[in-house]
Amino acid sequence: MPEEDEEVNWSMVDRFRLWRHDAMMQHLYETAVFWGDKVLSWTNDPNDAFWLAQTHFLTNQYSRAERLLTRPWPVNRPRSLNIKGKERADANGHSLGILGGIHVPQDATASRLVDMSVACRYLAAQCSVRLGKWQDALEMLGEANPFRGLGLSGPRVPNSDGGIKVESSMCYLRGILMLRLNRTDAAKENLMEALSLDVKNFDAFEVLIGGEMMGIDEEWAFVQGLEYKQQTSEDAEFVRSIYTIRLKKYKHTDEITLCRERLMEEYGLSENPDVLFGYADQLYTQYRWVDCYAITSKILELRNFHSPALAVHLACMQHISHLHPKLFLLAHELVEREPDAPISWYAVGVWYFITGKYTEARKYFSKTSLMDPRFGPAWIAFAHSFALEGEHEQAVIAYSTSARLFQGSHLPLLFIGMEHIQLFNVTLAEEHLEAAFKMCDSDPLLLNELGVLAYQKKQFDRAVKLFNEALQLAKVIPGAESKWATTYLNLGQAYRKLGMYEQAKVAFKRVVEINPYHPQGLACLGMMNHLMNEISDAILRYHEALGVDPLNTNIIDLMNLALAANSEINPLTLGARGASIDDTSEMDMGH
Amino acid sequence: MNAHVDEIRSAVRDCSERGLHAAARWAGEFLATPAVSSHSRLSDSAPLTSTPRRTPSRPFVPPVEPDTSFPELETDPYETDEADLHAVARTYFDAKELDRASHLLRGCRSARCRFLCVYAQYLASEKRAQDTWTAKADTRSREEKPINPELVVLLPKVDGSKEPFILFLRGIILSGLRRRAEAIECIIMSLKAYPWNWSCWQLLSSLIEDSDELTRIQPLLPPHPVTKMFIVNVMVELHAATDEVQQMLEELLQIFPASLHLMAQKALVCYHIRDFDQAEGIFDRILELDPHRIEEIDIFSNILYVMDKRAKLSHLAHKFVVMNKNRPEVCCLVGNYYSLRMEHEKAIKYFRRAVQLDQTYLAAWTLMGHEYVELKNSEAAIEAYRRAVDVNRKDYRAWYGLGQTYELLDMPQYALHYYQRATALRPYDIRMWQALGNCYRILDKSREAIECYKRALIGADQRDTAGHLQLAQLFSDIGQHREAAAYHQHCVEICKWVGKPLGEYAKSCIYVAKYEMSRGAAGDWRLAREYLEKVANSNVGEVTVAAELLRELLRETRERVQS
Repeated sequence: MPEEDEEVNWSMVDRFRLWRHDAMMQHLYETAVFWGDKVLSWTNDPNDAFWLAQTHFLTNQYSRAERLLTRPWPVNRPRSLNIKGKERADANGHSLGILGGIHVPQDATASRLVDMSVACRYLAAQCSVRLGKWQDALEMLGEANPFRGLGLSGPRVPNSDGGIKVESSMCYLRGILMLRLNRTDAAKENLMEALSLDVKNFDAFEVLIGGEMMGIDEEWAFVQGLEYKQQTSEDAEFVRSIYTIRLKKYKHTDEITLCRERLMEEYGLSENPDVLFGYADQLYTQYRWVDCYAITSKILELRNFHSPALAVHLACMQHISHLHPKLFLLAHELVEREPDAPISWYAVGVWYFITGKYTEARKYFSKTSLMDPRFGPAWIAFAHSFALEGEHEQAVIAYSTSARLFQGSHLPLLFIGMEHIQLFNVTLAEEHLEAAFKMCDSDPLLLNELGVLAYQKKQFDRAVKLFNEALQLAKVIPGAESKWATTYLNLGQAYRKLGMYEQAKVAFKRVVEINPYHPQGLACLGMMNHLMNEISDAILRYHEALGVDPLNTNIIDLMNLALAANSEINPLTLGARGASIDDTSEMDMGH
Repeated sequence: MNAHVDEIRSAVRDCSERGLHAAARWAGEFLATPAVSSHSRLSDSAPLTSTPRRTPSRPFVPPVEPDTSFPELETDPYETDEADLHAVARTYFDAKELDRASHLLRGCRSARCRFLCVYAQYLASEKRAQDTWTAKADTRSREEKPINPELVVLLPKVDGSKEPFILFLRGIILSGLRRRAEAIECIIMSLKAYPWNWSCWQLLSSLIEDSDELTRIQPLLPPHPVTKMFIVNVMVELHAATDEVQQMLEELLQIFPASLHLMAQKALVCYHIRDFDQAEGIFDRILELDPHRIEEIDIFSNILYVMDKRAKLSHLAHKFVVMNKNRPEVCCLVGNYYSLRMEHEKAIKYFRRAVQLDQTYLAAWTLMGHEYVELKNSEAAIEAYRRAVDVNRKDYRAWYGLGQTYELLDMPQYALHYYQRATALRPYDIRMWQALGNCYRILDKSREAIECYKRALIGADQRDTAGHLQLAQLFSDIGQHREAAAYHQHCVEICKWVGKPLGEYAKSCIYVAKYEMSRGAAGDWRLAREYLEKVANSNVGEVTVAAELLRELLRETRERVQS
């Protein structure tokens, strides 16, 4: 019926429905429940029941909503005669879509609302999940997507009304439920199905990608292979781009950069926090903390809360020592302003972490994990705090937990490998590092660790190869070579073991160039001079090294060796150096 | 001189605009001397007459052809836009609010502002490094010297510019990062474009390790009077004041007859060739011309110290300490004063103050080392000397001091290394060779020790027998008695020639006699007998030994005659 004359012809029921809806829009939920209840009593319409349940849901009265949806429904009672008007369109036309509208089967044997309508079933499942009744929710949703393979379903079928498919939402909810039940594989499968059924389902994307559920190649292939064209023909490129910039940055950096530039220029999102976050994340992956910090600061200026950006922001602040006081302030502010956000407490933990109070830090990291068990940084930081205290076993356990929770990230495995290297558990270290390498073969840090492992196993050739590969990857990243001094040092050591002194010297020189006060770098350079019989240079280097690290016994030993060698040198070779000076003055030691 | 007035004027302006006070002061001194100021003050002051000034109104200065060899700083299009910012930043800078100044200038694009911005950051970071280091005092794990971790961050900020001052700043940072070769390259580029920046020359001087390096660099430097001043300066620092240097100085003094800097250099040369009276005279004249001049006052105090002129040194110290005790040179002067009064603790206090004011103040580090040696505090002495050689590797005194201290600590291998460095710098200095020889001897390396002592003999005083005795001892240690005896005999001859008492060479006589006797028939028995009789007829300690030997000699001679 055309809208113009509806206003005149509205029945009492219609008017009440309008009240209910307006009340909901204006958050007057009591009002909505009150009038909605009256409408339901008059009509006994499943749609009215759905809306009433929805109102209950919005006021967190999950069990009330659930009861309404699951109570026996008299199927054959006459339906309301006057379902029309505004709320009708809202209820069936827009938000519920093709699968959502309630079509009461005339011959129904169904006795509950949930059996009649997908929307109702979805809502009921939501309620069960909120109530923590996992089993009930699973029953409601089924083990797998029941619509799979039906004619109207599938990733290639666009939603007729342009909205989000309830099927996708249900898959998402099933995925979340599986996560709760610790069935990670099933969860991942469902979340992937949710996203592929409807690319607009960002929740599913966030849990999959933000929650580190997929490996780098896997997520790239999956996100690139989504049916953007079929589902949202006009916005396909945009959606693909904005998803692409969130992916892991160890690979495909050029494509990601291209996407970001397009988003900034073509779509005018140069000031959008999410787009900026993609950039910040990339910078962070490249170890460019200062630049990254500049971007995240801007994001937080635009929106003073942006959880993923905040995590990166905190990490940068932790790396840049002069920002530590700021970090303290930020943590305070966050706890005051957003006490319910896990990241606020994580910030407090980070503060304690950098001040070396690991026990305190762990307390806050645990709190964060309790608030959100899927908050990755807290787990890793928790494990780091053990590692830094030298509690390797504990650290390994904590890393393992995060490895289990975040199966897409190679980092926990890498860290476990690092711990095992420190414990000289070569086999275990190898196992974990190889597993990490399978997940991500383009992280220079991982290659470095593999190199260290090879070095420990005395496979110096392999170590050299790995260190060189790591540096090659690191070189792709502009302006951050300075973070790789240790890898150069390792490379030099491996060359030294192979007896390739010239190459080793080049590597050590690089270390000292990056950090002129690198005690090991200086000592190793001295060692090269020493081995190549340039004793006086060697002594000079050892001195420089001891100047930075005066208590290093290894260097002192090396020094003594060099000095002993020095006393074997013929003294007359010295005179040759400054012999051109015509010396007329006498020595004047005092003044 | 006159040809350079304009250059110097702009140098004073350019340097002080950039907060390079020392360089500006140095250049300004050329203008401030009476001889120059009589022209230039007139030229600069506006005439009292109402006639409009004709453009180059320099009455006493003959017209100068435009000096094309001296490239002016290019005019910077941004400079005028940022003039206000720069002026404000300079007030901050001068008030030591360094971070504030650099923050104000952070977005500036003119070279002048960029320089001041990064330079302020650099100074602030150095200060922070120093403070952190000071706070770590008395912990064993403290680094040998402050380490400035911010240099790595500052370096990219001065990348890729051809502006001479920015190149200079890059040189500073690179040298802080121990990238000597690159630093020297930057500095030379800067100096070619702008030779009047004395701070830059001084930086270069601190980076040069020995005279070979100076010779290598020399052709790369711009042909300019300042270059000559630099060479004089470095040669003097190397304690290698040759005739050539003196001649160069004279030439320079002809161009800049009233330059106090050059006069001080000349005094320094006199000091090095131990012409103390002349050195003192020159300094007296300098102080007459400019009674408040602080530069090189430490050298004057050294001269007075060596001349043992207590009263004058005391007067000088009292005068300057009232004037400005926050100048490292003055602290050094006071330190010398206390040192001469044998108040070593107080002297150290002042030397330490001097190096706190200027970490790169070589002389104070070395002198502090000497004071610690006096106090038998070897560890502190080593630290001070180390810092000295770290500032400037050319100073053989610090190297030698390190060697001596390690010798005291009974660490001959370490001592050896430092003596080697000192010897390389001073290959004609016998004391270096003696010290080196001594170390080898302690290390039981007699052959090397012999080489060193032989080398030491070349320049030694003809009347001195110590070297010969050492050599003789060493040869006898390794069983080469012929050489040993030869040196002993040499010794005896010298002593006889000089007329020393017999007690000093009796042992040598006996050794020679013994050796000759041991050779049997081939020996020079007559000589042996002569020596032994000489000793036996005296009252020195070796009388009994000599008498016994003499008896044996006589018996054996008799036996031989009989057979």
